[in-house]
Amino acid sequence: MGEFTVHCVRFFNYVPSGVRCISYSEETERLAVARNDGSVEVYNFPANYYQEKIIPGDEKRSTESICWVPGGRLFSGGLNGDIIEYDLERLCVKYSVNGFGGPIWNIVPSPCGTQLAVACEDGSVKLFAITPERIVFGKSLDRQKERILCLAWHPSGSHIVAGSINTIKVFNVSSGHLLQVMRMDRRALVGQKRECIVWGVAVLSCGEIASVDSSGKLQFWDLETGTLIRSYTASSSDILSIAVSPEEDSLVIGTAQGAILQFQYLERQAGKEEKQWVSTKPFQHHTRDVLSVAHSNTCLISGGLDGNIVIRPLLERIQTKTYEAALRKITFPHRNLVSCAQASRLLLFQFPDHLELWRLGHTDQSGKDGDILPVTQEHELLLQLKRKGSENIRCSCISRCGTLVSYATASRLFLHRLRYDNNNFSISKVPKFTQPPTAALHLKFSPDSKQLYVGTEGGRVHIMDLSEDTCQHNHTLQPPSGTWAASSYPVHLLATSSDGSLLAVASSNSQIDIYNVKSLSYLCSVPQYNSPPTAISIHPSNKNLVIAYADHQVVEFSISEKQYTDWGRKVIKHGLHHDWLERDTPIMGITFNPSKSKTILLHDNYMFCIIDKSLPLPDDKTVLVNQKTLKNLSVSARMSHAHAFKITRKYQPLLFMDLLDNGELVLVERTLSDIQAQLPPPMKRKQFGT
Amino acid sequence: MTPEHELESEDDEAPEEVTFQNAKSRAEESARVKRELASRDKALLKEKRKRKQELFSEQKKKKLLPEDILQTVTALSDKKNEAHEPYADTEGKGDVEKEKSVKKNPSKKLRPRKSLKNNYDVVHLNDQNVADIQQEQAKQFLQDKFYGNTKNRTTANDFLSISRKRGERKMPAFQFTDSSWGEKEKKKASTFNLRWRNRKKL
Repeated sequence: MGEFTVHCVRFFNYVPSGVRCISYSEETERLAVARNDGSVEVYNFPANYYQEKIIPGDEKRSTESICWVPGGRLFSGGLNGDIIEYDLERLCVKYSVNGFGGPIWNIVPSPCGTQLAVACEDGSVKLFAITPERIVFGKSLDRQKERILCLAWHPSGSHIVAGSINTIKVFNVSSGHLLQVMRMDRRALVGQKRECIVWGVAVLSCGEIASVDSSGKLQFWDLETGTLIRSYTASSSDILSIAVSPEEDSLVIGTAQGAILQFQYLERQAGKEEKQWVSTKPFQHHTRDVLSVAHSNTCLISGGLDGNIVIRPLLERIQTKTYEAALRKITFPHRNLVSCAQASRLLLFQFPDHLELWRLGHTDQSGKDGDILPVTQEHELLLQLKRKGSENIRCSCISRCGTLVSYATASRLFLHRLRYDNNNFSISKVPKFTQPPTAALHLKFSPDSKQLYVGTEGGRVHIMDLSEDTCQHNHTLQPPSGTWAASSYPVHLLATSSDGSLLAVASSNSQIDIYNVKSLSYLCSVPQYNSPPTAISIHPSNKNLVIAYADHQVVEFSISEKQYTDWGRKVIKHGLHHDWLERDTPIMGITFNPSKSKTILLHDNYMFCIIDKSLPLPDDKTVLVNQKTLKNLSVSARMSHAHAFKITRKYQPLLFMDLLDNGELVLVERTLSDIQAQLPPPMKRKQFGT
Repeated sequence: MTPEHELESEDDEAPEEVTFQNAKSRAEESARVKRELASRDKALLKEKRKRKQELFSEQKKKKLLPEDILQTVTALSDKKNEAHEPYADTEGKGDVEKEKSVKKNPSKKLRPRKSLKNNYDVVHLNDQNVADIQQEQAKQFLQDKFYGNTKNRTTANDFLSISRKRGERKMPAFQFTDSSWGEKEKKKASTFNLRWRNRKKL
């Protein structure tokens, strides 16, 4: 019999929403990603591409274009005709301004960052002035007949180039007049002229326009004369996006077949002055259309309809060819979409528009290590809870006993009480319910289900008292004023101790505060680290706080002594194994086995790990993932080779891990082929012999 | 009656001789019978309609509450309105109720009484404004350009199966390995098999 009975859960029907547009800011080194469900995510590149912020979407607004404006401000435009600025500290929409030009297809800030050009459905290009508080309408350029799909500013800010259907138009910014119209080649298809849609344009400082269109061509035009300079047939399908590097010596295009192609401006012959754009590297990392690409100084970034974000570092731009040069593919969100009621064996799955409550299956048999046990009671779907209104669900939580379910949208918090008697199951709203003073960003029930902790902006936590039919705001935990900049960062993670006396609150600036919830007082803070925490948990018996950071460090902090524990110091001093530090995804969950107080259970998307604190730490010479080889060794040899990190890659991709009260382990898997099968239809590719 | 006709007919007997009087009286008789029948039908139909009408009116009466109850109810609702007027500024339940009652009365008066079949709905054309139409058109444009007729799209199933066939590790087509694929078809096939077996008495 193995250590755990494992529930390998495969009924979480999660499908990532396709990436609609991305924008990279060299200034803050952040990537903003807007998805088809309207949600916006911010990735922190220096912190191992960690998904720092998520702003949930709304059914009523769809994002077509997103852009960073100097000063770290984020704007987006969508088909509902509104330009939205996001509040990245409170994780919500700051304000929205109607463009009065119908649906918005593209928004681009001017090179100096003072103006915002907006491409509208009615054929107008509007310029908005960016002021510190809002955006103000400035003027409209000459209105055209067709919808304008894409925009680009000349690097000097003097011209705007707009891509439309069958044409590219050049405007003078100061006069607002149309200067040039370039007509696309309309390849005839069986006697009928086909529309040629310009999906993307870019302007180089030498006065050349690069355009990509639905006929699969990358074309270079002269801005002054409006003539075609060069044309490359780069793909047999649509080319949907283009991005130019800041130095203008490389550009990247994304196609409908899921390929991205890099073009570089290279010398025709070695030693000669004459240069030419040459297609250098094709990459096929996506299976669906690549709707958006970005080109930073060191890497190509692409986002596809398959929900993946791929970061491809360019080897020639990186000095050290190490971990930093590896390809990154972000498929799953870096936060938990699943919560578990450990006492009543329930799982709550969070989707953008509904929640699902499942009861786990049951077996009464036991077997050897590695056996698959027959299930005597099948898992069943108890409840499907649709959200209220059009706002997507931001976070959700189920209480330990499984009688309370809470979820929050951008503006409201909802609390429902569940009742189970024999085979009957009922749900009711908590009747006397007061909303917390500020919007909920993170939810957690206390272990005894008497309180609901609502993490909110500024590192504050509202404590809501729950009784049979009431829910009232009781107290707000404030971070102490001495801690620097704590007030502006939202709550990112919450953890409670199993006796319900302690609450750990982590913000995305890696400030971690610990409060005593019984006396409602601040206890201490963990020394601040330069990487955001990805998971925190408090040990049930010795009250040690274990923290995993985005740079894969794991530390242990003793709350009673207000300092790192001996083991935590040992880890920091010894350093972790290089294979551990070079994993792809952050640690997403930490739990403890109450029967074995020396162990820590953690997981990321591709591994499940048990850290045994009694064993020595591995050094760089030993093999990190050695469980399979250890199995074949004799008992004495096994002891000498064993180290603290016991890793299995049997279950992947892993979205959630938790330990039930009866010692059973729950692992929620979501296989990639299941996701692939539910994505929108891909382009057909002819392959030889099929 | 031409002689040719007589020759052609198979009957050898001569035609029966009918007097004019006789024929006339017979024709009149038949016409009378017809008229009577028609009038009887009409009367029957009338009777039927009348009965139906009576039934309807009776049903309508049944649906309506007795007169006195109706009167008391209207009196009560009037009182309620008056009672809530002073609390107009206070928030909470009373406010909501008041809103409801105020809303209900005029809307009932204003709405024209029209009977529509189940599937139809009355819509204000002005509600669907230009912005919505434009948004709809923009979405349609995107849909056409990405998934329209001219686009060479395949299904996820084909796509995965081909990648499996061409991959380094050869695997069977996707639908054969994924148990959740095509559940509907599989169910249909199993019921068909069952029926077929029953029919063939296997």
